[in-house]
Amino acid sequence: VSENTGHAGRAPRGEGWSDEDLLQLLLEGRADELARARAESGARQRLAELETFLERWRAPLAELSGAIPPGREERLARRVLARTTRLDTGWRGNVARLTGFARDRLARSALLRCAAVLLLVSAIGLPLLAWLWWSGPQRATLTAKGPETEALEPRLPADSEASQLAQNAPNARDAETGEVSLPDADQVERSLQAAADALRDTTWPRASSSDSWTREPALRWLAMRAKAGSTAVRVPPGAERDWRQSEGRLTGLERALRAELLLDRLALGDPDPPGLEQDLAALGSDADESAATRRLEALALERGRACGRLAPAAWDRLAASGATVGARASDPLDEEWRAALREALASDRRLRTALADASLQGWLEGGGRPR
Amino acid sequence: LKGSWDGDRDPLAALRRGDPRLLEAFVAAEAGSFLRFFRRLGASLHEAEDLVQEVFLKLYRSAPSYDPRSAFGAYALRVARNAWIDRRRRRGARPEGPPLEDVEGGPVQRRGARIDADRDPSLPAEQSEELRRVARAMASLSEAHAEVIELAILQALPYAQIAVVLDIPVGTVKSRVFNAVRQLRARLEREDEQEARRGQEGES
Repeated sequence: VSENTGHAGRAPRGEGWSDEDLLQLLLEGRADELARARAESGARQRLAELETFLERWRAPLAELSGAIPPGREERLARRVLARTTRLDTGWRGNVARLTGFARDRLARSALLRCAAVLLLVSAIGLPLLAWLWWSGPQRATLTAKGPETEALEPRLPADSEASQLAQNAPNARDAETGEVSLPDADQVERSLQAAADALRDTTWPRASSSDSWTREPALRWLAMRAKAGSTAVRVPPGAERDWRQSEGRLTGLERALRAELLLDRLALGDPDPPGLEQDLAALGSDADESAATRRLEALALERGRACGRLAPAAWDRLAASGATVGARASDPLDEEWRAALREALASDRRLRTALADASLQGWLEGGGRPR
Repeated sequence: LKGSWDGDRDPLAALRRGDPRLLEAFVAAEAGSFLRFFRRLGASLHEAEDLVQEVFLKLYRSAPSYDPRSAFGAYALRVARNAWIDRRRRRGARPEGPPLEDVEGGPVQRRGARIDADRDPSLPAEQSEELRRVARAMASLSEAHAEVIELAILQALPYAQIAVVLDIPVGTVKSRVFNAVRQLRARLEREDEQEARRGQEGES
């Protein structure tokens, strides 16, 4: 390699071409001077070597940029033009620039995409979930606290015998026609008193863990009964207030349980539990209910009758049900009713999981017997 | 750059006269050239796109103060080079590519650039090998030498314009280009020899 660098900054001229000169001639493509250089024997060989080198490696050097994905250049040019000569200063332009910027950044960063998704979930999903939660049915919650003082007190002294009531009861159904009738006032008073005693002396199922049966909305009426019976089940405030709001959406089982709760209140001294008449009137009216549920409804009807609250319109339904008349007047939590409840729960695909609760299952199988 | 944008075709001179069409043509024609320019210097694809937009915006905004007597191509490349230097300065402590020895046989990296010839399905195996050799040779050059190879061989700028782009005397450009080419040749010849030796060993 020649050390002659005397032609720097000028076009190389004359004899004694240095390698630097020849390279410059080649790179700048000076045809006349190249022709002169090729005519010189001393420069010809070096020029040819340089030319070969450049021809050989120019293309691979250009390839070092790597492949550019198709359409990328065009999109880039459009973006540039949208920000320069074709800049739209109106709101559409602003929106387009903003969305373009956001799209560009999101496309480049997986972290940013995750953050955007989380933000979207927070902004839309959480309020939606909150709305669904608050607009859904009120759920009973559990507590391990001890018995609560119940405001309702029995109206009558405990001087009646359940067996006497049970003996009176068969008179309510006509032996030949099967029709039922309301008991007299004295029988009603005795039934209520006996029921109040039985309710106070009953051991109720306990709710001992967060996955207990009281989480099931359909069973909140049973939970409320347990509360009324002063056991360790706490019903959340507002659950009772929601009774009427859920009207029309209640299943037969829910309605039967709610009627039982209202009849408990009647027995314990509330002279007019709100909604009792309507519940009794609606019991047994849905022919689509399962046989087990219809039995539970019939038992609630019978108890309503024994308490003197069954409207004549519902008598036929009670008569058609074939339920044992009178037996529940003195013991609203008798074995027959608990067996019917167990059957109704077992026949319901959603509710049968409640039977997995040991406390509830034990109570249904006999734990609720009066102490 | 693909075409000549000097003299009558100077986009900024036209823009100063109120005619944006030449600038639009320049953007449409040369966006890819600048993209490749930055990729070869070592920018990732996304980074190169950002840089290209930055360069065009700077050119557009510089129209009022632009001197139409200068060569536009050199001016544009100088803006591009300065944008690249600024970007590198901003990203500061980010390590450059691994030493050359670490990438033998694998994707070649130089100053953050990644030339993965193995993964480009459009390249035949032979061409991939050639690209790897070129990439290794370029990676062995200094930044200044790589820069003049880009400007002199790939952009085919006259030395006087390279001097404007790099803001150095033409004489320095001349010696720098020569030294860069000499080193590149030497490195590629070594690569060829090694390749030939490997071929012989494989046969024996």
